[in-house]
Amino acid sequence: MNSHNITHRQLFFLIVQTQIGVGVLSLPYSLFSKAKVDGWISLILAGILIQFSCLAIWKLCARFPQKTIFEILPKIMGKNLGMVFNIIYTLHFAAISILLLAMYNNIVGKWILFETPHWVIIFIMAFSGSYFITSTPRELARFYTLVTPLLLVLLGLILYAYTDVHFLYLLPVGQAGLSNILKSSSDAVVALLGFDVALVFLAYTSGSANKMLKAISFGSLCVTLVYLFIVVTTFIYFNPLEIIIIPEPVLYMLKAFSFSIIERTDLIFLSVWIISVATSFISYLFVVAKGVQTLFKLQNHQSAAPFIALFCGLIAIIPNEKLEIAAWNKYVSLTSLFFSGISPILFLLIAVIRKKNEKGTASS
Amino acid sequence: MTFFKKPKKLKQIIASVQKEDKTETYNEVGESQIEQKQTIEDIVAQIKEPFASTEDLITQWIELPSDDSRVALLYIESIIDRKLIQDQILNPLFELSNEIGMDSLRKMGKLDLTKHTDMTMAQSLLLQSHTLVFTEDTACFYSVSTPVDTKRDITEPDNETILRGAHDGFIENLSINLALIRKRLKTPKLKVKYYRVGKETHTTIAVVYVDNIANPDYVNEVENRIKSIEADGIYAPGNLEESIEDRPFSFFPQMVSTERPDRVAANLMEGRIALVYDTSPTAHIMPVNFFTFYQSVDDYNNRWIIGSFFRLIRLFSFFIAIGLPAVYIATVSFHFEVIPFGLILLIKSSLEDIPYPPLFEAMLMELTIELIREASIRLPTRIGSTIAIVGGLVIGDAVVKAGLVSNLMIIIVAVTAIAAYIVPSNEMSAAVRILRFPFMIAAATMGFVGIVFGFMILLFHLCRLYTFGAPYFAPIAPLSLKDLKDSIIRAPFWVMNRRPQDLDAQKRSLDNQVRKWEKKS
Amino acid sequence: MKKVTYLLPILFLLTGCWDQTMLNQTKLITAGGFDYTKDDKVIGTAAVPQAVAVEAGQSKVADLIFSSTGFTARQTRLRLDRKVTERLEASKNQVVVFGEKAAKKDIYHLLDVFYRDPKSALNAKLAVSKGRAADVISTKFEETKTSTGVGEYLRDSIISAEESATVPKENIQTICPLMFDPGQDFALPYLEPMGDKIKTVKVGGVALFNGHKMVGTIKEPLSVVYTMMTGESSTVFMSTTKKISNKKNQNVLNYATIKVQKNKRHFSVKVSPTGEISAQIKLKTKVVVTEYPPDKLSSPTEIEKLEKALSKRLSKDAQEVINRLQKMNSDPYGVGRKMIAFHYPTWKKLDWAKEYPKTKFTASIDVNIVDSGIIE
Repeated sequence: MNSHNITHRQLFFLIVQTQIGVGVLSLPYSLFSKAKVDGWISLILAGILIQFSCLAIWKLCARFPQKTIFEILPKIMGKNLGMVFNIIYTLHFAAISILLLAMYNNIVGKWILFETPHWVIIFIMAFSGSYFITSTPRELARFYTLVTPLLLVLLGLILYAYTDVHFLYLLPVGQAGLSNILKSSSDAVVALLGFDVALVFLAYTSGSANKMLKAISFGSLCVTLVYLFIVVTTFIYFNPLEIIIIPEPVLYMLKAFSFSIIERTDLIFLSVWIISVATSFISYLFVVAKGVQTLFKLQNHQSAAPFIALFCGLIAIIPNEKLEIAAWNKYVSLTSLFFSGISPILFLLIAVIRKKNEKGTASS
Repeated sequence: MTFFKKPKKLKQIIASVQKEDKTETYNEVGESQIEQKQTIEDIVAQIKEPFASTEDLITQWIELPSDDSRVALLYIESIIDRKLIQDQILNPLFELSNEIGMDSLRKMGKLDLTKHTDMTMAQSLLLQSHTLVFTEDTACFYSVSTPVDTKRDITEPDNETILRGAHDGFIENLSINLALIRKRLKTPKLKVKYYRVGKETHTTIAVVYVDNIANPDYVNEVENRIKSIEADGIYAPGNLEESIEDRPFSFFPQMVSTERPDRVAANLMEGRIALVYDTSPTAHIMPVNFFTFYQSVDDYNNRWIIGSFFRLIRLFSFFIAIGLPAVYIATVSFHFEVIPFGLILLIKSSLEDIPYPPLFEAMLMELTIELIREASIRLPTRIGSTIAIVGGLVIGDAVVKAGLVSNLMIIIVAVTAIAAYIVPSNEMSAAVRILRFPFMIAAATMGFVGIVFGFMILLFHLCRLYTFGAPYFAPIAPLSLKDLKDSIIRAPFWVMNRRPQDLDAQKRSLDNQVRKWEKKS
Repeated sequence: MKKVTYLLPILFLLTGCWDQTMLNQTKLITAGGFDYTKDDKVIGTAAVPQAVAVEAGQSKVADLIFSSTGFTARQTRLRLDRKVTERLEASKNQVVVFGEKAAKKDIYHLLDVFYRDPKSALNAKLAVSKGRAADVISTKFEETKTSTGVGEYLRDSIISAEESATVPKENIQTICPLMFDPGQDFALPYLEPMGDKIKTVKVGGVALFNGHKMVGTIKEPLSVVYTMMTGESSTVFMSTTKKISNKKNQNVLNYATIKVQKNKRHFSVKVSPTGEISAQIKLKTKVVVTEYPPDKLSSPTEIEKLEKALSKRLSKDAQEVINRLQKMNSDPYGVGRKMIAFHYPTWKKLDWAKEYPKTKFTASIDVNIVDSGIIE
């Protein structure tokens, strides 16, 4: 394992790249649909919440150094219950991967490739993913680091919106009411998902525990800020009444921009965005592969890769309507809120109460 | 010399089929000897046995006037210099052997002979232009190196010309090549290890590295891989390259091949390892990263700002050479919305009457360029320029006039071709040229999405590629900001005070204590 | 080398080309126009340039004009498509023109197709034309004969009007938030085709909107003042010529031309305790005198005098603009938006459409001469 380890800096990029994904495009819309222009407050609340989850994840993994969640669970829950939870977690991560694929397919199909069959769009991503996860976390982290500057391109393009913004649209603050703001932050948590892959990748990180914590928590913070920037930008670019009918406000905004050497910046944005989605998808696919490896007691996770990709791809083809994807999104949101946001805290509590850590298990 | 356990096969390299050995006629006596005590004739016959029927193996018998003992000289006529034998053996022998014996002569240093006791080495020595000297003392023999001087002049390599800097290049002679390196690195730390590979060819390879800089892990890795080669012959450096590189299926070259000793020397000082070959002017440098291929000696001789600029241009050319035709295809056949209005009518009108889809157009022209390139390499230079004219002017112009290919495509293809040839390394240039085809296909299928997936896979391939354990895409993945100053740009000499991290050199710091003088105001 | 096998399926996927829309097999619409027939059908008019023979970058564009009717904008597009040989593409559309009657009905209904289509050109300029849009688009303008097509010609005319601040900068996307905004309206360029023999188009001012409907116009010299008050700090050539006195006997001496260098708008909306709403725009503008025939700007008093005269004159114009806007019930400066942002409870109780014309809305422009060209 040691030669494939990643540094805490690479962990940071891994978390950032995993978190930034499909959510970038639709987050302003989903926030707005509940919390109106106060959606950005929901986002901040969600950002604070996931900081706690990050802390819990880190604390949990710190008790079991170099163990992934799939190895930790049997230790704190007992063998059988741990197995059950492993299955649940693997399916949960698979569900996220599938949802990512479906949403990516939906957006690409709607914005660039109108006629291309959906299975082509999905499987090109799925098979690229299976190629990527045949490597070790170290190479993945290197790749993520390499493509991170592209995020700046995305942000730079969005920055151009400030030529025509109406700051007054944000006012008055708090018109949606506290309950709506809270409800909406669950949507924000879903968009910020990605920190949960730390459950697996922390096992491959070398370095002091403090630095690891800094990496994940700072990573999540950065992503929260980036999202905040995007959300606020769209909120002040579009009229509040307009956002309701625009599911992908960021793209819509970019569509109107034109420069003297290039027009239709949304196409450029989308192309770069695909890489962001791919990195999220690959991270989750890797986690699923690790889960499958544990469940089937495989020698390495690589052998499972093509089957997982095929599985995810096939299921992602099924929903071909916007509404169906929305329904899936809702279910996965709920489960992820629980499995990624809350349950790490619970596991940590269980581990603390049952006094399980690496040494404790050795004696029992 | 454990590589010489099967000397019997050596005879294949001498291509004579004559049945009768000319040298046999001198000493028929040698063949009827008693088994117990080996005489000098026995030994000579024994040595000669695998060489049977080659006519250029000469045995020369000399009777020493002093003690009536006989001495036999064995050599392969075609690869030795007779004058050297005369000077080095015969003259001193006749002058001095009256007084003292052979061995004592050697010990006194009057005769430049090496003493051997291992008879199995005789054949290989013969094949390496040595002359063997056998005396009545059958337990040992002597050898002296008498190579014939067949080397060509040291010239600047045609395929790696530079503007400023040294204009010498490797030639087909190992010792000269090593001399060219040693001339630049006059340090005892410069280590040279010889390996002979190929069961029949016995190609000599020198592994060269600087002892206290190069990481021993990489040195061991290189040596192990060379040792593991078991082949009848290593005919060209390419054979060796393919036998020891990490990913033979990759498009990317995994070692730098160069004919420039200055380039080798600079890389050795960075902590890399060089392979220098006998019979080939090409040396290989390893472990390398992607950016090594984009460095040229010229960069260091230019002022650093200019050198940096050129290097950036070269890296930029990588993306142009791979991506430009693909982006063009994707744009005109998928996303022409991105073309600004002022340009679109122009492009549209130039495309209007082209019957073929852009992919076909591009393929046609790219292949034409490759044809021209291939043709001009094979042809002698004088005809080569004709090809350039035919290819460049006639085809380029006529194909547009005929309406097969659009004006714009010609521009795109031409820019791409130029961008591909900017790369200072031939192999990398070839890799880049090949890579554009998958990208073009991807672009013609899914537009920008296809290109994005293409680049993703390409970049990831680079990220996971290792050469001899060193990451290939090194200062970028893994990211090492400090190393970017000699890969993306060419920072001034006095700033470069660390060796590249990916090479994990034993001595990381470079003592570039320059510009310490006081500035006079 | 197992890993290579992972890439094989990808190659397999790369075999079709479903989305290909070849540039040379499409017809690009560069200008579109919408009118209504008497029985409420939409008439769509489109200009499609046919490039004729390119030699050394000199393209000559001949426009083909197609038009068709339908019940909706999309239907007219589909019917247009059937009239031409290749696929019609609106992704490079430069300008959308509404006939005055169509604009007075509702422009959002016609623009919906642009907002919904992922390939549409949202950066196209919008304009309202005097008379029918179809007439503007199908006119053979003088300038289009030599080089550009009608789409480019109209777009460039509008852009040059924007640069001289005759009209505010808008495109399909930028008016979208405003169309939805209950507290703000917008204005579009108002095109007037001119000339009998030498045909040109003139951007004659701005067409003002209330919600989705056009409610009136402000014509050219005044429209510069209108644009200045939108808060636009400066454009390339934000200039206006104003009469500042009646005293000189030679009429030309009564005028001064200024170029605005920088505008600073102070815009406040106040609600008094009694519920009265008052709005005020104070504009501080730094100008360069680009024309002043009396030529006596050497002394500070002289400059001050000119400043005062200009301020007075411009403030009067500004108030004129405001009065007209209130009369038309068009709120392009966003008084209502300010109300929503800062006086939300009050706003909620109001019927803004009725309240706005009654608002006490004042405007003043304070001119500060910073430069006077290379002579004094």
